[in-house]
Amino acid sequence: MASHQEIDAFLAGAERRAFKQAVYAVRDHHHALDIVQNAMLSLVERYREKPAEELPLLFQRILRNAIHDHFRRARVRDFWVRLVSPLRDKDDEPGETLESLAGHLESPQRDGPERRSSGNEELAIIEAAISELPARQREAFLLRYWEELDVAETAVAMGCSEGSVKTHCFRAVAALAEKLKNKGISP
Amino acid sequence: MNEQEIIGSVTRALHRGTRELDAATVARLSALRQHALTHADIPIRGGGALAWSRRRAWIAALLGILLLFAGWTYMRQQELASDVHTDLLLLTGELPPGVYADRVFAPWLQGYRR
Amino acid sequence: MAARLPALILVLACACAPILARAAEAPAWEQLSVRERTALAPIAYDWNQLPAEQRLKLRQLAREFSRLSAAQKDVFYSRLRPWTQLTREQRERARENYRKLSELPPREQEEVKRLWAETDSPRR
Repeated sequence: MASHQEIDAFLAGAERRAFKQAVYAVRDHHHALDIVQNAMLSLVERYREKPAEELPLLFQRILRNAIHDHFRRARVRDFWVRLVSPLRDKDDEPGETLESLAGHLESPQRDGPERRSSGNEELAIIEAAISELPARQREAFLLRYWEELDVAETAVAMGCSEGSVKTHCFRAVAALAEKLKNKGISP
Repeated sequence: MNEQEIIGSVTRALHRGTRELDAATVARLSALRQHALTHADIPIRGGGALAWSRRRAWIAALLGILLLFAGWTYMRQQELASDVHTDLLLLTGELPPGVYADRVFAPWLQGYRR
Repeated sequence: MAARLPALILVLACACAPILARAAEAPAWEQLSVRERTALAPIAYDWNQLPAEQRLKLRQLAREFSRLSAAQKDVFYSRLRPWTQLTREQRERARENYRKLSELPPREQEEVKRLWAETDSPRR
C-alpha cells in the first residue's frame, strides 16, 4: 500500500506532465486543470491501497479516462445545446469532433506569457504538432516516449493491443516528422 | 531525420516546456495535489468518502426503483383482485353484464337517484 | 465505471421484470389446468387470441368457479363468451356501473333493477 508521502512524491513528479498531456488533448488551460484535479482525486480516493510501484501506470489510465470523460461530458452538453438552439450558426460541420473544434478556439502555443525567443517558437511548433495528432496517436506517443512506459504498459494504459500501440507510435512519429520538416525544424 | 532523432527532439522539447511551465500553474497544480491528498484523509476501506457517498447514492436510487416497482405490483394486484371479484358477480348476477356496459345506464341511474 | 455496471444491470432487470412477468401470465389454452379449462370451456376457441391481461383475470375467475352453485354455473357459462367479446372499455364501464349500483341501499338496488328491466333500456 502506497503511503501518503509516496503518493505525494509521485504526484509531485507527475503532475506537470499530466497537466501538459491534458492541455495537448483538450487545448484549454482551465479544463486541463479540472482534468488533473479529477485524476488526482480518483487516484487518492480509489487506489491508495495499491503498491507505490503501480502508481505511474494507474495514474496514466486514470488521466486518460478523465480526459475521455471530459470529452463525453462536452459531447452531451453540446447535444443539449444543439437541441435547445437549432438556429445557431451552422459553420461547425457535423463531421467535426469536439477535439478539432476546441482547436479553433484556443491553441496551446497562445497560452503562457513566456514564449518569445526562437527556442520557444520551436517548442510552440512542436507542442502544436503534438496537439494536432489524432487522439490515439498522441496518447501512444506521449505514453511510450515521454512517460517512457514500455509497449506492454502503454497497451494496458490505453486498453488496446501491443500491436496497435506500435502502429499508433509509428504513425505518430511519421506525422511529427512530416510536420516538423514543413516548419523547417531539424533535430 | 531518423525515427530516434525525431522522438528525441520532440520529447526534449516537451520536457523543456514542462520545466518552463508558468509559476501560477505550478502553484495551482501543487494546491490541487494537496487538496486531493487531504481530502481523502478519512480512510474508509475500499474507497474514500467520495466513493462511499457515490455508492450510497446508487444504493438509494436502486432501493427507490425497487420500492416503486413493488408499489406498482401491489396496486396492480389489488386492482386485479377487485376486478375479478366484480367480474364474478357480473357473470352470476341478476342482470346480464351487457346491461351494465350500456352507455345509458350511468346517466339513467343518476337521473333515477334524483 | 466498473462499479456502475452491476447497478446498471440491476436497473435493467427491474425494468424488464414487469414485461417478463406479463409474458408468463399469458399461457396458451393447452397450458391451462383441467379445472381452468372446465370453467373456461365456452371460450376455448377464443382463448389464444385474448390479451394477456384478460387471460390473467379469467384464470383467477376460473378459480372461483368450483364454488358456484349449479344454477350459477349455468349463468356463468351462458355469459362468459359474450363477456369476453365486449370491448375493454365496455367491460370497464360495466364494472364501474356495477360498483355504483352496489353502493346503493339494497332496497334501492332492487328498485333500480326492476325499473331498468321494465323500461328495457332505451338502447339495448
